[in-house]
Amino acid sequence: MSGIETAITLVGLAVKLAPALERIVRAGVAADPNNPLAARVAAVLPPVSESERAANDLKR
Amino acid sequence: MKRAVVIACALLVVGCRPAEHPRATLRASVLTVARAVKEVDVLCADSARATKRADVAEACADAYRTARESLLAAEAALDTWDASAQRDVVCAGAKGSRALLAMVRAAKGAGASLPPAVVDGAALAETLVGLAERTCP
Repeated sequence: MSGIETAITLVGLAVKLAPALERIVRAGVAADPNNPLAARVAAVLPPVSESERAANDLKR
Repeated sequence: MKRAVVIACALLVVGCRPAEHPRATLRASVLTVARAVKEVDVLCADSARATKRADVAEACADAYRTARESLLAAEAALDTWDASAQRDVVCAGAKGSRALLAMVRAAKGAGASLPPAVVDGAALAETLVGLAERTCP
């Protein structure tokens, strides 16, 4: 296989794989808790705070 | 290579113009305040346990509930983003910010030292509160 044929094959592979790679990258970005685009307030702040747990412990 | 650097710099400059992206800027601000609330909540709990001060923990727990409800409301308004929602974002964000500042005061009063994320969140919270003074009733 010549160099040009190899290059054409690689480009063809890259084109075929591009949608799958994009999905993988998007899924990774969406799952990243440090990504401000993916995060939601409810995911950052649970309903029960640590302070509330501490207050309950201290009142016992 | 040079062209790539120029394009990257141009994107950075465009991305640093918050006035052109108010919703994205406000969403990032709401999330920054939320993250600061989470961090200062842990600080409050640890300080209250260390000093055995239930009053500190209760003050922080009350402010946390207010902050959470307000920031959830701000986020819901951000998702809607019509004319009335835009004011709601600022007002609800400011209410959450005031709660964060109350938690910061309680944590500092109990001897906690604030990490940079909380300091930054508090600075942003003060800005939101200042903005709301002109916008909210």
